[in-house]
Amino acid sequence: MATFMYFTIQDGDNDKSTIEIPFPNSFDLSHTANAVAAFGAVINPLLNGGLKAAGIRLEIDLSATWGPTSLLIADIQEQAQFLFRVVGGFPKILNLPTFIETFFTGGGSEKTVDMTATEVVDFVNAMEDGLTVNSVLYQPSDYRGADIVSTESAVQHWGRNRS
Amino acid sequence: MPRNLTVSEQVETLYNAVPTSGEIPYDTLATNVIATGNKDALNHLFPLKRQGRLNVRTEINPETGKPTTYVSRA
Repeated sequence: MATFMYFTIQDGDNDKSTIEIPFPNSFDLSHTANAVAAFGAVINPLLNGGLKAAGIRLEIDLSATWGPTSLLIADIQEQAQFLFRVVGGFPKILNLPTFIETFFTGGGSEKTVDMTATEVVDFVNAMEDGLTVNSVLYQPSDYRGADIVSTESAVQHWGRNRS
Repeated sequence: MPRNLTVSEQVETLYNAVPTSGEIPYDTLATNVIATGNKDALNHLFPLKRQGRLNVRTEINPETGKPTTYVSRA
């Protein structure tokens, strides 16, 4: 079981896509605003698009914090695909739409995410070990509530156009 | 022109760039390592964390709302 934090991302054509980050069902809903803002702070620096909304069970307007300030080049279909492993080795895939091109390395169809970039390290470590806000740790999981323990790969990915 | 480091040399370059005590912000660590001309050494951050040699934690500054990742020796 898990609780789902979602982020709605908007691109330059106002197309939208929603990603979900699961948390164990021990997640304290009274901390929703802090946890959403904290994970927004590690996701937003990776995107050309804007974070339009986020929430868990109620939607929080992010227009006064992260946007929507989508760059015209932002495209929902241009994504980074992160493959995480949880306890037991099971996969947890997360696609980040409108991922900023300069965070990729390599060329052609073999581009991978630059795992040395500060913004990427912030995000990946937040997914693996959680984020601390005011001494409270918010730790993501997979859909079953299993702890994310490692990042196997992070590559360029072309996704569907969803709105 | 400096030669390319072996993988094990890259690992030790990164590990040795972390102070023996206390934490260092990842941004500072990366700047220091890149200044030595061995940027590839930074790719060993997460493997060293998994091996238990480095501790890595990410914290949100409640005043600025911005994240900082800190690295220390385990």
